Amino acid sequence: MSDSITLLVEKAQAEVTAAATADVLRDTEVQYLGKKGEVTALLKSLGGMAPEERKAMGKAVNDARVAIEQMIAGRRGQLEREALDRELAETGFDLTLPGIPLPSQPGTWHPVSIIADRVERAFEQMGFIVLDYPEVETEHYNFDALNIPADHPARDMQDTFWLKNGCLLRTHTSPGQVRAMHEYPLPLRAIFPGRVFRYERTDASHEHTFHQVEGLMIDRELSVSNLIAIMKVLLETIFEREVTVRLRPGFFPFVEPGFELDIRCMNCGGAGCSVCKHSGWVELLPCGLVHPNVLRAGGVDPEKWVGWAFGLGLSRLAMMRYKISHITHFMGADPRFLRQFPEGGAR
Amino acid sequence: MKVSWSWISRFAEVGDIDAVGISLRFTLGVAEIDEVLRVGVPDPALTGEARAEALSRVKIAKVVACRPHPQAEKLQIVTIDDGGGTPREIVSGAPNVRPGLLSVFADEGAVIVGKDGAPTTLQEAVIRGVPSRGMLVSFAELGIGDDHAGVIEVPDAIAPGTLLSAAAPAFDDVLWDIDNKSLTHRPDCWGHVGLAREIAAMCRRPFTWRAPDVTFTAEADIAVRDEAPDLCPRYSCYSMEGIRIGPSPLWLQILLWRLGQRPINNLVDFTNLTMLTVGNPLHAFDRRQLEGDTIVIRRAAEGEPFTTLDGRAHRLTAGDLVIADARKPVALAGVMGGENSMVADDTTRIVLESANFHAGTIRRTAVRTQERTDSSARFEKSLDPHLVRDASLYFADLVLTNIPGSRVSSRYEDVFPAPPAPKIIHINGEFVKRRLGMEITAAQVAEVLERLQFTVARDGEELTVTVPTFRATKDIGIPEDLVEEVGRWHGYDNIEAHLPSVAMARPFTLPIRSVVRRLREALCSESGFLEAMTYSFNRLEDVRGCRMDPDAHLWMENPISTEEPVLRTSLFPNLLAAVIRNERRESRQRLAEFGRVYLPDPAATPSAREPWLSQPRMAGLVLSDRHADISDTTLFFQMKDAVLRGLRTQERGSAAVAKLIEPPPVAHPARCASVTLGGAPVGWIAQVHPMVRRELGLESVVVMACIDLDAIAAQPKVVVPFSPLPRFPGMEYDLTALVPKTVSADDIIRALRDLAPEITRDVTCFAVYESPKFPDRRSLSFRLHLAHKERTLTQEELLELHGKAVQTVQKTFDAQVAS
Ligand SMILES: [Zn+2]
Repeated sequence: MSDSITLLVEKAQAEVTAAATADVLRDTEVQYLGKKGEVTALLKSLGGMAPEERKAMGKAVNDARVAIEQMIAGRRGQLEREALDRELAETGFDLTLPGIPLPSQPGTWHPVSIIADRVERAFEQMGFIVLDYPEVETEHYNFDALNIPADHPARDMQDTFWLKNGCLLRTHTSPGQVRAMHEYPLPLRAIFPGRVFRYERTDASHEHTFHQVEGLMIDRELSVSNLIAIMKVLLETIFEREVTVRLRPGFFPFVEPGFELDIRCMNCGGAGCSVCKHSGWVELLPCGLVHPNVLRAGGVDPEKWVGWAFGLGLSRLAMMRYKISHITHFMGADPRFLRQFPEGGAR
Repeated sequence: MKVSWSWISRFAEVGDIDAVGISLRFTLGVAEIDEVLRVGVPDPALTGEARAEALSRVKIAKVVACRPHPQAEKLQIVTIDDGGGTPREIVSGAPNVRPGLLSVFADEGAVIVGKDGAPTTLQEAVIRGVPSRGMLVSFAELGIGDDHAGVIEVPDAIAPGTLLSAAAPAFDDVLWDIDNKSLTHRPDCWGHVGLAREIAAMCRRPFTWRAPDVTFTAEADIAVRDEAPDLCPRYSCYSMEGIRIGPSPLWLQILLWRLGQRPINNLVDFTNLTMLTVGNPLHAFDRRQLEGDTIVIRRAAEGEPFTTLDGRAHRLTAGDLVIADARKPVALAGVMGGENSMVADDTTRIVLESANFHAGTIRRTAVRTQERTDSSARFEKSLDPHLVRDASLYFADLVLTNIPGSRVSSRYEDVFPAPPAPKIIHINGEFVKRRLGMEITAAQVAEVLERLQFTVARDGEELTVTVPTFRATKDIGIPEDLVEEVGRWHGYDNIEAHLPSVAMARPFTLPIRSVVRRLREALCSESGFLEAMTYSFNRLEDVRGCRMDPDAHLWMENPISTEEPVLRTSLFPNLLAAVIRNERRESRQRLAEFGRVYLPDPAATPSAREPWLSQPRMAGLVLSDRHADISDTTLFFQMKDAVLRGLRTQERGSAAVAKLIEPPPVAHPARCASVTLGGAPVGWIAQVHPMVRRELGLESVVVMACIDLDAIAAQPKVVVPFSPLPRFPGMEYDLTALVPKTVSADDIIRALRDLAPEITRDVTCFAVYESPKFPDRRSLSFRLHLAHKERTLTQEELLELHGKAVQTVQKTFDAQVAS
């Protein structure tokens, strides 16, 4: 008898798949599951069996019923979707009709775009080019080429999102350094803004997704003094006021010497407040002279060329400029937030 | 890492320096200090004499007698000797108070941490009818650690009345919390001795630490066989006997609490203190548990089982390094000892290991087994192998000094087959000057390096610098590293800022950048869109809701949440989710996002260099209206207008819409259009598919536009030439017709243009009207802009054109022309 159940399910499968319309499908349903349907008939035939046999067969028939019900439901959904698509395709819609101007309303740029724009313009005026590099990166460019080999403790600083295909989401904009060295002739002055990712929980000041801009300059003769000057000029351009910066040692494997650049707290002027954790200074960006190994990875001879690089947090800068308390606002797409930045790309 | 200034002062003559003040110089010259904390009096408001007064009230006291409190079962009336000559009575409820106990007494006027965590100044109290002044205190009440279990038990013999600050200098101390990340490259700074050396140099004070002298015997107890010298460059051990496990002396318990460690017992505490002082982790084995007479350092067998002393069972791999006796592994090298050989309360004989391990191996094992210990954190920084002997001696001395009856019972086994050769760097003064951009002479460079314990031989501008071993493992290897030493020593603040003077460069703008910028200006500055940003990750339900296949996405190995494990292949799952979040508040939304999507490329071959996928930059636009009727197409044509306006700013040929052959699954299959620029498809416009709307629970009617920014950038720039102004006046001719809905406006426009091509400059459709009276038709109004190049148009021409136009529209398109 179990053979006949298997056959019945196979037959039902074929008929359900073949049912081209909802009406045909309904007939098929009745034919199998209706009061006089084939499955119902099978169930009735169990009456004459011995109790054990009846139990086993009853379960088999019931499983068959559930299977047929599921195939009918699946097919019905499919037919409904197809019918809907057909209906949707027949609305007499004419895409060549003239466009309608949107009612005038102020639009806005994202605050990170506004800051990025200011940074880009400032650097362009100093003769830098603006580049754009991929967000999904390889271990090679994100770490190895930046003098951060596997098993280097510095990898802890940059908790990483790994992809199933072995690539990763870049943890900083620095991979662009080596890419730019490969792509452009020397001397080179470039910045590359973009989205970066760190594998960390989100709170008021931490986001797994944020924006940075990397700066890179390679020339015959460059010094720490030049780096300080450029950073000061940049920050004054962005904040449109005089700023005080200080450098202190910071360890980043791709620069040597490496620094943390702090900016005198603009909230309190250095007297100490909650923004600067009462230190009078706010940590703003890592920078330094490009490590010879990184230059080599980019095919640049460190005997002949010297470079400096920095990685500036655009999200951080936007938070400082607009006194935004929660970094999570940036990715929230909430019009109440987005409407607050009317300056656009204005200078 | 926590640092105790009182402990630092043991190793350098800096005790009189203000530890709070000097911390800023440390941050500017060495590494970042997260927090500076003055401890001893829990109330930071108390300073100067008031603070000293409060400190003088905390002293050692002995319990002389105890008797029950008449009113309270859980309290005792305790007689103590606080060194003042007369016994005093206090009330105590601590369970461990008993006659003979040596403890710590906080007298009236002392400041302790109250039950609510706030500082409390002790005053006379009457407890259940019995007056009581002062109290015996727990560590937690003194603001030391979190041990509330009972009053402090002082294990060592200290005279009652001795001030606690005298008995345990770390009680009244200044603590620094140094950011560990900023010490990643400074293996020498992971112990107080190394820090003291750095601070001494910084303050130009003598560094006084020397390893103690210890006499080893000539006997062999355990031999060492290093089978993996590449992973274990140095291994030393020796045996000690006469150990009695017990509590550590009070000063050490308090110091460990201050440094963030919980005191365990003297032996464990001595190994920890050695690590925190000298910087090299140690491990003590119970001699009884070691089988055979040889310690073997070897790679683990693949799959070898091992249980660490925290009770966790691990399966090792061939990449792990183990310390083994004759039969079994007894420690996971540099990470943690084994449960099978740990020191127990009745241990009397130990074997003390002090060794140096390969940084990468230790780190890999610690990461893989998730045993990130204080030990592995140090070894993974590449420690100086010379610390091994210092740590051995320091530990032995601690045991011998503090455990009466203990003795060293073996010779010093020390396997160190290949001490690294001295590291020598050649540098010249001019190089330092040029890199820093400051005036500095070779002699000044030499002086700085010497102060930092480098050995320098100078020949004019040329310096030959020998790196001290404690800086040579990783930190210092190239001339640039020495530039940093000089720079941080002089203070980067003292470098004057000068902009570089460089040659001019050819201007260059990445095409994609001007594409994005112009589109952002057109849409967000002119057409009223709000620029939004959404995550690069998608929730599965949003992907499915948009009728897309999650398996056609790139999956993350470690997503931030299991609900959003894939990278977006479209901007719309997140943009539509945003529309839904906002729609109750915002009945009409105009959002634009510019960002990358990540398209898996199954055909791509994995490469070491390039990510094997495409990640084009897209613009995603949405227009939503919560009150619009689902059949209303206004939003669609508003989007069309905004998109075409935006594309026209790109100077890449004409922007138009065309039939979309393969609408994406999220799109309405009929209300959609392909967008072309210069004839090439660059995107699409579509109303949201009704199934998507239902699936996502979207209330608004939403029209989307997707623009492939890279496709625009790939189009060549086209500058449209000027067209001469007409010399003769032109005229406009309007025609309105009721047209079947199956006819497209563009077809009629084309037909009208062809009627009299020599005089027709342009034809536009300028009005659309639909009425329920004519469900199958719509009224379209066309305007023909007419002019002749060489003469004024005549009335006859116009009449003729009118006749032809009416006829064409009626005949060809089955339209009714309004009279
Ligand atoms: Zn401040």
